[in-house]
Amino acid sequence: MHGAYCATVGGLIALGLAVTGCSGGSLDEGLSHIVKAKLEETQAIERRERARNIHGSYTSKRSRSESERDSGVNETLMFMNNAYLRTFGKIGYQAEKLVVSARPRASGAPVIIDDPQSFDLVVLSGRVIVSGEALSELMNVHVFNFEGSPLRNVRVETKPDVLVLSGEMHRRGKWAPFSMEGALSISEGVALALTPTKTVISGQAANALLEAANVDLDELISLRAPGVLLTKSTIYLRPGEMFPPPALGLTLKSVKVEERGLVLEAEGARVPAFPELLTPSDSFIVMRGGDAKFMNMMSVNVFTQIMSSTPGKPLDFCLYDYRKQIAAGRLKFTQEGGVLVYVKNYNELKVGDATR
Amino acid sequence: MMTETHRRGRALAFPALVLAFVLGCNRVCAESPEIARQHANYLAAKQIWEEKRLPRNLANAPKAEDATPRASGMARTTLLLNDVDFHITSGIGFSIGRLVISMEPKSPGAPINFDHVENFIIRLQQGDVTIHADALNALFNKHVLAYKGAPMRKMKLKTLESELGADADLVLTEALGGIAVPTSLSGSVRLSHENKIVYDVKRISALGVPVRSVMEALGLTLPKVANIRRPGVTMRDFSIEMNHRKMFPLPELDGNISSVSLHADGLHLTFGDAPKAELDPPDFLKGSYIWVQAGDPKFFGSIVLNARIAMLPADQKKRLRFDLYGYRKQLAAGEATLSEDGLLIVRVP
Repeated sequence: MHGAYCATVGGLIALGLAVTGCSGGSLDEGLSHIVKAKLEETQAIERRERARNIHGSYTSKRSRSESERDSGVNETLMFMNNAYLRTFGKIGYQAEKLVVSARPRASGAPVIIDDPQSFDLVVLSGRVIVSGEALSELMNVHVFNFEGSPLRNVRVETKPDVLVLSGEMHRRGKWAPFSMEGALSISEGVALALTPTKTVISGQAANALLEAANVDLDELISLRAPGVLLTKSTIYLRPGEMFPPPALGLTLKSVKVEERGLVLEAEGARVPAFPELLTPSDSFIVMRGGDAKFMNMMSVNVFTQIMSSTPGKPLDFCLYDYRKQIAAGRLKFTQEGGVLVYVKNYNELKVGDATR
Repeated sequence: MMTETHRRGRALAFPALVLAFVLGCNRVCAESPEIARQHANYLAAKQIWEEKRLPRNLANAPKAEDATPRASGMARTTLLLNDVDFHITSGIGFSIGRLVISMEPKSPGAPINFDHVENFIIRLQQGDVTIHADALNALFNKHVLAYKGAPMRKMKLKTLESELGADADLVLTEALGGIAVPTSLSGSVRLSHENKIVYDVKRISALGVPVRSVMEALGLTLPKVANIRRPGVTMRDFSIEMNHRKMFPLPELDGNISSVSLHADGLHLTFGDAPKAELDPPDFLKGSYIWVQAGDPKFFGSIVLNARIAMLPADQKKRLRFDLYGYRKQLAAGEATLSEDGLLIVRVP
């Protein structure tokens, strides 16, 4: 009896289930909701990444088609504030609200931070302050560091409205101490002109004598070096060429000589807007848009914010030795795809702060 | 007043100035020792970053090509997962003892973009994984049966030694009120000749009443009763055939299962018909970790060229759990270090 009952019930249920089997249901294309949601999320992420090439009213143009490895954009903008940017050693400058376009020289290449000779920097706006100490180092270690240099032991001092250039000049087989000082003006928008109002050579005031004899300074000394040229009695300093690579292009808007250093302001025709930061900071270098490569990491439509790993300390970044700084620091990723790079400040690096 | 000579002189002054600057620059740029030092250091480091470190004995490994600034020249990225929970999404994933996988882009030359799960394949090389019952439940409820008109819902799988049980609501048609009939299945699991996981259903009951024999008597089979229409899952008479290559959420999987078995903790799968691949994880990697070697994985929009990435749990006493679909949230909660030789170490909660 019990067995018959179960069989009957079972049969009815089985028939019911059979009818269910005919219901079919719609065939999903193989993508369930969770997969579709993931694909939609990825598309939204990529739209946000492409928008990194828009900086207010300034848009970096796409010059080739984009791919997974290439944004198609030929520049990365760098936004720097309250940061000390060195090329190497003591050669560097303080950046204030500075916007620079980094442009690879090779067509289709990313900006390769490790190869400063492979890209150019074009200053779009902002201010840099180059201290006397940095200028002195620049002159001695880079500008006049060659066989047959006409100058050595150069010292640059900045006083309010006066630039003082001193050192030793080579003349007729001998080194003679000299000092020149004067005001700076802008020449042709790209060079600084210094016509010394006071010249002392071997301890002797020379201005009056040179004027009386109608002798220009360039008749006494041939002064020619990267970014430095003496023509008649004016020394032309071209900041964009004085610094070691990367080549620096800038159109000067103003120059001021202050106790703290040479204050240069630049402004181009189109000024990009500073981006919203990945994390609040008052001292940083932000790289945004285009493709930038650090070591073996290449960011497409980059958005990286570099800061000091020491809380409260302004960033001191050295381009030629940055790998040591990164290796002694740490990285954090943001969900939106930005990378926060906390580096050990260059002036805090110790011997042994290198490869882990 | 300026004379013509003066005017001509001034017009020529600027170009002459530029020429003079350039000539001066060319002479010194070649001599500056710091520039030469930086460049030499860069070239030496570049050699290390680009050194081809292909895993050895990797099945069907494509030939490496020359590196470019945007590509390492190595098509595949290989991962060694050791004592890791690999989570795809929504509770679907694997508990891994030790597993070697390679990740390959579907488009030649593309990096492995962790955000674009539709654009790469995970090839299972060797190792062992366990799919726990709750992960199986998530797989069926959140993916396999997650479509309008699916014949079953609220699947609940139980893994026992040598037996797999499944409780689910079988959904009757609208004509029958669309009501759900609680149904239970139980049976064993085997590997088919076509390398598919087959669930041989020995017992079926509905509303607690055994119905298998009645179904057979009536000529009813599982496809007629509850035909699941999802790639990778096929109902056959009284078995359910599961193709691991198709039934999981993207990315696509490939690679042969060498054995399948049921245990109380879940469904155990081993992969191992490929030669044993050898990778080069750093000596400090112990316990629970993921080691990523070679190829160009892309995450957060950044490509790690010729990858050497170690992923560890932030708390080294804990087991690493990697969330593929949610990796951004997971990695954003962690921290990474990058050494000068290009080794990236990522620690995640």
